[in-house]
Amino acid sequence: MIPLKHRRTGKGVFAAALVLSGSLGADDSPVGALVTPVASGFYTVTPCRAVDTRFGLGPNGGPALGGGEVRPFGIAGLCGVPNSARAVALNLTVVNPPAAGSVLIHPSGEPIPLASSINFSAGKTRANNLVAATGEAGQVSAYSGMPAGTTVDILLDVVGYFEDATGNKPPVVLAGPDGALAMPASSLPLSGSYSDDGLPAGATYTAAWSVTTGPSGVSFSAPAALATSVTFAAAGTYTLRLTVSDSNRSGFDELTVKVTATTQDVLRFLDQASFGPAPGQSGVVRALGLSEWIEEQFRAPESGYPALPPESGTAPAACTYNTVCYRDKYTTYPLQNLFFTNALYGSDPLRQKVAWALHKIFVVSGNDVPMPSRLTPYLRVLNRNAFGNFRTLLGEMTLNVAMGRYLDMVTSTRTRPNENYPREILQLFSIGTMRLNPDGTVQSDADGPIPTYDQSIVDGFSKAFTGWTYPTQFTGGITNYIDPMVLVAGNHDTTAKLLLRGVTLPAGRTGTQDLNDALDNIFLDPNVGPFLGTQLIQMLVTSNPSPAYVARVTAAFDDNGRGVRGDLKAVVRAILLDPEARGTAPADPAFGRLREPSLWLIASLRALGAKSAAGTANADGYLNPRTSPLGQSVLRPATVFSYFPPDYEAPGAGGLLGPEFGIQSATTALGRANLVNSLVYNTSNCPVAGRPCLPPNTDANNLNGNTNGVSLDLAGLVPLAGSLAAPDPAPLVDELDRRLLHGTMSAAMRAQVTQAINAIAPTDPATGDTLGGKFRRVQAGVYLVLTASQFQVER
Amino acid sequence: MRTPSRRDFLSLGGCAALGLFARRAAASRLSMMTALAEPLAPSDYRALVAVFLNGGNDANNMVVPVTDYAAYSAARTAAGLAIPQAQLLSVTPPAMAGSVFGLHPELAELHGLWGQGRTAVVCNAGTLVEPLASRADYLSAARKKPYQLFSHSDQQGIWQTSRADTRVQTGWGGRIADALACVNGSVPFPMPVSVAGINLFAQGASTRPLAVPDSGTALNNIFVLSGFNSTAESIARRASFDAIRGQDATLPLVKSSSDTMQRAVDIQALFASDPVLSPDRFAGLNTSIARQLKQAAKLIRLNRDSAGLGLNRQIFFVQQGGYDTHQNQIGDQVTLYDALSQALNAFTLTMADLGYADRVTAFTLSDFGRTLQPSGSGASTVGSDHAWGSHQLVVGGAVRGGNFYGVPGPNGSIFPSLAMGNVAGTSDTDTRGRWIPNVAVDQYAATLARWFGVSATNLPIVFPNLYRFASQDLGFMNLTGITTPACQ
Repeated sequence: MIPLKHRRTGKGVFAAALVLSGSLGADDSPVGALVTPVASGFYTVTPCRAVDTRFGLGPNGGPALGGGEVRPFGIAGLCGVPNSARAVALNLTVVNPPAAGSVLIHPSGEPIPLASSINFSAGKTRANNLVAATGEAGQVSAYSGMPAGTTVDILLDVVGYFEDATGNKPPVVLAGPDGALAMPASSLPLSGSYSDDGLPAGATYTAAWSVTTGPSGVSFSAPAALATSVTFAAAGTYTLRLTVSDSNRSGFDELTVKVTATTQDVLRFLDQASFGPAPGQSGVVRALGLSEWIEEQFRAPESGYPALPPESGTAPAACTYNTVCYRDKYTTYPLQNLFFTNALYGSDPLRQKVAWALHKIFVVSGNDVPMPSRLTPYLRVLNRNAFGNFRTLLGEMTLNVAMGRYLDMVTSTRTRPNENYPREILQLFSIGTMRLNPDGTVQSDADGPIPTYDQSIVDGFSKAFTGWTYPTQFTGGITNYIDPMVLVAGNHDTTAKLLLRGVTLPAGRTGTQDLNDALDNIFLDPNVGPFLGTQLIQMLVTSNPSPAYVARVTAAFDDNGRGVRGDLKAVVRAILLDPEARGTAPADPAFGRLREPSLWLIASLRALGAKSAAGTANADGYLNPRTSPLGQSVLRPATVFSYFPPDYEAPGAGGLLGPEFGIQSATTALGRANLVNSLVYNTSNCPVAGRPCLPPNTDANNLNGNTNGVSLDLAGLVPLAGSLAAPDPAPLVDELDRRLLHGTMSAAMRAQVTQAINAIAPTDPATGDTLGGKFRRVQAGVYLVLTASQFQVER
Repeated sequence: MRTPSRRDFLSLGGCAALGLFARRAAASRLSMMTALAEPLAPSDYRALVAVFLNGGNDANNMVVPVTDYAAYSAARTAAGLAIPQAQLLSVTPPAMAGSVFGLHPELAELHGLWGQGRTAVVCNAGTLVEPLASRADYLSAARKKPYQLFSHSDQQGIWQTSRADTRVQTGWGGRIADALACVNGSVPFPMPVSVAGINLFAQGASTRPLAVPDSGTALNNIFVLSGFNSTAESIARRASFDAIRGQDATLPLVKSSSDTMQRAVDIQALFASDPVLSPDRFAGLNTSIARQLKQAAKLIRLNRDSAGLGLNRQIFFVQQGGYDTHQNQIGDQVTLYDALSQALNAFTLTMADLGYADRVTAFTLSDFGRTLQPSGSGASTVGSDHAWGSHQLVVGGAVRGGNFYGVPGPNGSIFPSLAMGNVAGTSDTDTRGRWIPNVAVDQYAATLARWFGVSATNLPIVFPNLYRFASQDLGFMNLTGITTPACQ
């Protein structure tokens, strides 16, 4: 090994006074490229992963290195290693090799020397330090000394590099002070500076501005000038970097710019990222910042679905049909209520919204698994992983017993493999049936769309997933839906399996190995990013995202910025902070999505301060009986194809997709209007005179009698409704526009709403008129906006 | 003549485009006709009722060979998936030259209709791009196969669109309605009605189906807009409510939502009464499929008796779920077939009551058949997996019932060999008993469409892939006295 002594010189850069000559030492490879003695300086870098064949399919990603394969990896330009580096100091790790062997790192383009960088035995994850000269194009090559037909994953972490030892230090850069900007203003001047040691002689200095973190859509008027201006397409918090090079070495400095969204944009954001803005909420979120709100939501404690004790699949005598006990333990009722109360009042709406979206993709239906004690563990997997890694979600979902029961993996054995789960995990949960480009467009050849898999691959996954079944029962023979499924080794098919992209799992492996590798095979498929990303965009933001938007979300799925694939936090950030979701971009006529029945009702209630019928407590969430006739019984989709198909075309919209239109019909359209009518106008059986409501059920014999009803805070809008002295209802119309339409109400619609309101004299309550004209003005305005297509479609 | 491959088809370019162009041209011609044509006399009434068996019906247990029971039994008895021979309801279709078959024991009512010549079986029908005469054809890369075989959503889509080569957004029920729109005059009530939610089958290029709930909702309670009265305030609010629906039409999704509401408001007036079926043949039946068929029957009655309606053609879509029997198949099929048989029987009797015995034809569709080889372990959990070709039922007075129909397969018979794997005469795609269909959806559908009155000119527009198949009429419909409306 080379003994290194170094002294600190500045920001993250170390220099060692060391002259390298001749061989690098007995433990390292005698690398031919370094025979010329060169006076070099050693510069450390913050340890940085340059190569990881486990994840990603980029030049320095997977697939795993095959036996006998030689593969070059470009190191220069990554991890702070300059193109002028002569050698790199690396830490090489081999991950869980399937067989004994060796790996050699050597300069690219050179003959493979008889040497090794690391030797290992099967199943051992091992690491070794080494220094390797860089070869062609600043690359080093890895050679696998593994048996043919096997593969091994390797990691290369850079810890430093060698470069000419002239004493040249990088320029010291000052990017300038942090900035702040409030939309709609979108540009900010920047003025950076630097100082340097004058080396190398005759240095020419170049500057470059770049974005380190933050949403996309940033542009610099002159990205190579110290003084420039930056323009942002969307609100968010950005880190900008100014890099200055002295033609040999470079230094950088960063500054932060916080771009505050318009109120209109914050309101829209809250519809997308939560269940709709509540009164007063937008100001708080605007001051905090959209990025910060998202990060805060990532940390917020999960409200979700509390764990329940296991229950027998057969209702005991004390819990017969048509009792409260039966309702709470053997029907989906309590979970449906919980869905609505979480959405209406929960403190983790982003998690609940993303988990709801994931539920619509990873469907288990309460139609088949109605018992809350059985369905809750599934819902908890969604909630737990909503901000986790997609690979973990895939794994936990695959072994979830409710899913195993719903799609039959729980009975799939070697002799009778069941194709249901294997087919749906591919078709619905991960990659879809057609090969996609990263931007979500379909790849086609002369025969049309290119399929992602065929029956032989479904067979392969079916075999790979055989052998799993219910975990150990609880006392009293109660089926265990809480723990993951377990493997019965004898039921696992140990023959070889064909998976995606021509990968074959060899014969003779355990069920756990096959399961994990099969899931990795799915996870690493390049279709996952665009397939999942498109659907999540559709569920959170807009039914018809541009290919560029999908591509940006795919990029975030493929790499969260720190080399990790499948980070759902990165995906959520990318979706919600994208310029196509923010700022003025939604002016595109095609922008938006039809609110599905449940989200439409929840947004209506939140915007209008919904409470119990008496207005004294929170509503109890007994709302599924309201959305069910509108085509959506929550947590009980009809089939594994969810509530509506993601590729459903909105009727008469020129081919635009509108998934939620799949459950919109003449009947349900009237149903929505009639539900608004009840919310706004019904006064019978309401506990407070003058407060319209969906009344609580006071019939003690009715099992659904524990509801406390729902009512809107219409009275709160009365002061805006005008008066006999000043009858103009503009403040009321403005407020409804802001709360419900994000300020997008057209002049024509405004005129119609105003006209209907003006037909009502703004009087106070009086004898024979308990509500009063002002209140009726509020009712008319709320009715017209809640029923309007302009509100049905979230824009 | 060499059958054109899909590659030829697409590389010609013009062919695919021609299909689209022809359809557009037809659509515009139709819209002109709609304005000009006089509706036909109501005596020409006909209705098609699509019964979708959602999830993939395992027809291997619906129509079982009795003469050759051994082959069936060998595959299924040990696993507990076979229907015992003694329980089968015997039929001897003339087309099968003396061979005896059995219907599932829960299909007792349909077996009764079989005896009256009002039920037919179409054997081994499925999704096809072009004919596949053998296992070798199926395995040949040169032969075109439907996209995403064995996948629920895709195969459901193909059964409903009859387009096994590509995804389209119109169904063949909707396209029949496009072609025949002229015969219904200008009534603001669409020819296709779904009693099972929105679906592709009934969606046309210019036709949008109506979706209604089942008979649990009275017809006059379906299209109701509540909350308006005759006060000046209410009238003003209603005026604005109606006006707002016409605004912001430059926003396509907003307009689409508004159009849906507009149609609801337009239809409201036509649904002012709730006709009574007397006698109520559905009395005592409370399954979803019975309620859906009852609602279809009530709509047929409403149409017959209402002054503002009087459509000459109607198309209905109903659906029975639960056929994805990966497990518990034996028990589930008892429930499913019992409900199906009773509901179709009640519907058929009701049509006779309405004087439409020969004018309404119900027929099944399903995602796919299921593997003959069982899946899953344990007697109570045994089921079957997704497969392909399957048998379909056609029910009604215009059906040439009491017989099997189809196209001969690799074994020389219209009923597939139940031999699994690579053996002589097999229809199996692999080793599990997934039958390569002999009959394409297109042929099955075109036979119905022809009875419904779609002209020879329009058949290739409604079914663009039909030309690839030799037989375009499988013969199970009685065409005697059937007229083809000239206005189309």
